Amino acid sequence: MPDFVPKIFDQFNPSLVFLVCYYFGFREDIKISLVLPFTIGLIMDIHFGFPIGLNALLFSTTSFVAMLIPQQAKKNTLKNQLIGLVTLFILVEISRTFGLILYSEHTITLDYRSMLLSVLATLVTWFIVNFVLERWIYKDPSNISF
Amino acid sequence: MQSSRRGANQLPTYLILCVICCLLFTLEIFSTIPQTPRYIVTWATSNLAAIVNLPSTGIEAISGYMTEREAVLQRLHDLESENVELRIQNQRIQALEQNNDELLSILEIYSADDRLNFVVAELRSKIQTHSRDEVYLNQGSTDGVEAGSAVIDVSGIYGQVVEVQPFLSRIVRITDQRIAIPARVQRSGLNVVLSGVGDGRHLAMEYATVTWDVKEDDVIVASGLGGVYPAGYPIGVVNSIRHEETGVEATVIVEPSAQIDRRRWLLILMKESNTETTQE
Repeated sequence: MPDFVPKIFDQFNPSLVFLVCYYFGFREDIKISLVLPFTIGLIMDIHFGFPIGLNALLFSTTSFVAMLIPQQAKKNTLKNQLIGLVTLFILVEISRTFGLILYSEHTITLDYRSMLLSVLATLVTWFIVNFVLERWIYKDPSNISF
Repeated sequence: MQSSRRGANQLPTYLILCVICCLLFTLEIFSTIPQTPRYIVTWATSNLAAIVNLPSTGIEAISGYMTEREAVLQRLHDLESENVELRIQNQRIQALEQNNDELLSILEIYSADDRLNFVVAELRSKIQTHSRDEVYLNQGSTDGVEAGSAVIDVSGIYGQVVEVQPFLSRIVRITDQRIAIPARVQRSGLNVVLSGVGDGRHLAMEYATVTWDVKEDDVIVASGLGGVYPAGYPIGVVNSIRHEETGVEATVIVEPSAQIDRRRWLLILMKESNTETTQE
């Protein structure tokens, strides 16, 4: 991080891959298979040294759950989106942590502050990206209601 | 309810993927998967990551240049003062090392020759004129030093004690004009008398003639006559021989073995040990 950025932003990391996978399932017109998030997760597992299959499972689940959300709920308000996203994200973070604990031979210290900041950053990014995409790219403001 | 149908369509795929993930996960935990495929994929993804990280790397590089000028100047100032401190410290260490070497060589002499009974003294001050070539050492009569004792350093004879105070002794160096040292040419066994030239660096043989068996680079040692200087201890090396115009006399210049101007630690020999040495 550059010096002029406050220290707090070091931990303000949106989980971008998570958002992409969520969006794959969320958009009706993006026709993808669940194999794509699975592959992305697998590559991440190998690159970052996670237990193989952990991120693959999490990202597949994310996309699948996003696909299961009814059309009506997606058109709904900010509140619906927020609840759905936060629940899903916390679920994913917790399962990731449990996976790591299961895998690791040593005790893992959970950094709740960092996790919370990461969730916040992801939410903020989601609303910005969603707003930009729906308003200017897909030009369908009916999906967004602030 | 299009979306839920889409989700339901993907259900078999999802279940298969879940099974694969669980299998991989179990394999990873309970067995040793060959690492080679992992290395290949990691190599590919690292390169990809490097390309993806280019913007942030660039921003960091730019922000390095944008650091405030004052901070850089302050750092420069700090480093400079630190540099000065370190140089002073370094010089101190060098001086200490030199001292240490001298003391170590004194120890070597002590262990090599048990007959020498001496007091180690440190140089205090120096008086050097054309007619006087003296130093003061920090050992005096309270330490057992007596007037007339010989003073040596680790490489040769240095001088003689001429005056003793309680905590200080005055030494006339061998390069002083007023001193005469009974000596012997080691190669030929010729007994000679040396005295200082007065330049603070050389000695000359007194009454030397052209017939004397002395050559350049001959080692001159103390003869032990007179009982002051320990017999056999080196005094110097013949530096030059010049025959006078008369055809009889010669000027033999000897360069002292003792490092006259460079020593800080000197050895004052006790009188008893001198006499014993002489008797032997």
